[in-house]
Amino acid sequence: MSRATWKGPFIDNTLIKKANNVKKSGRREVIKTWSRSSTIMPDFVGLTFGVYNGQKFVPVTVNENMVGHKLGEFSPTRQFKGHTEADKKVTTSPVKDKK
Amino acid sequence: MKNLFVHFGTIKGAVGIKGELKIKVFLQNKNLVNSFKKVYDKDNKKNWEIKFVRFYKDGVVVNLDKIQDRNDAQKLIGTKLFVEKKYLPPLQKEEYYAKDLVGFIVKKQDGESLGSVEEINNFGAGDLISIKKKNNKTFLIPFNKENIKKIDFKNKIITVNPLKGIL
Repeated sequence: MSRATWKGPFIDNTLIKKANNVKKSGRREVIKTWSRSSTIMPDFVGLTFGVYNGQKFVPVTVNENMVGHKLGEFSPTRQFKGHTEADKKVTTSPVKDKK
Repeated sequence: MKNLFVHFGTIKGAVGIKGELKIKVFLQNKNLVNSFKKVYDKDNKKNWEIKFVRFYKDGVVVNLDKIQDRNDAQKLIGTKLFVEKKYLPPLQKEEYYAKDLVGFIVKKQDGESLGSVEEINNFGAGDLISIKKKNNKTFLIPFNKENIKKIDFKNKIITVNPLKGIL
């Protein structure tokens, strides 16, 4: 059953406070959180969260495409170690839409 | 050998009686196999020309020259196949092959060594480099301009300026 619309999205209050503090101060820091079920709000775009996966804090840099998803979606608790594809590319440029 | 060639697949089995081979491919774009002309084994002692390619869900089925029947094909099961790097698509500015970065030493801007690159992950929020410390513990750094300052291919060093709280 989906969440009642009148409640609005769930976000941990502590997380909102932490995010606001970092935004106001402009500090370069990771916001550590255990609240994997918190929804990503438009205000979070550009911030980096350290989302706990039961073992370590996975850095999640929020972009526009992630708004509305939960933080936990980007920090898997199980990981399959396979081969790295020979033609897998990485870039330091800003994230583009990948479809 | 390591610098010029890249491991793109492993022979998993024989198909039919005409010497066709099933290859599990470690490529994001399986169609690249069509452009490979010669493939090599791990020690670069043997090489084969690819004559025919067709696709199946996990990889490709190929026909190699010199492999005429099923018996020949079965002898090659488990062989790791390599291809020259020049057959991979060209890179754009600030783009790198993930495999090329594995093993690089990661240093802070003040010269402090953090460890070496173990692998590169992407969980949906951008690329992350997994760095193995000397005590075998790993941590992740986002692979973006904010954190990665310089990549020195000659000396295999990545200079980073990680956000507070990442280390």
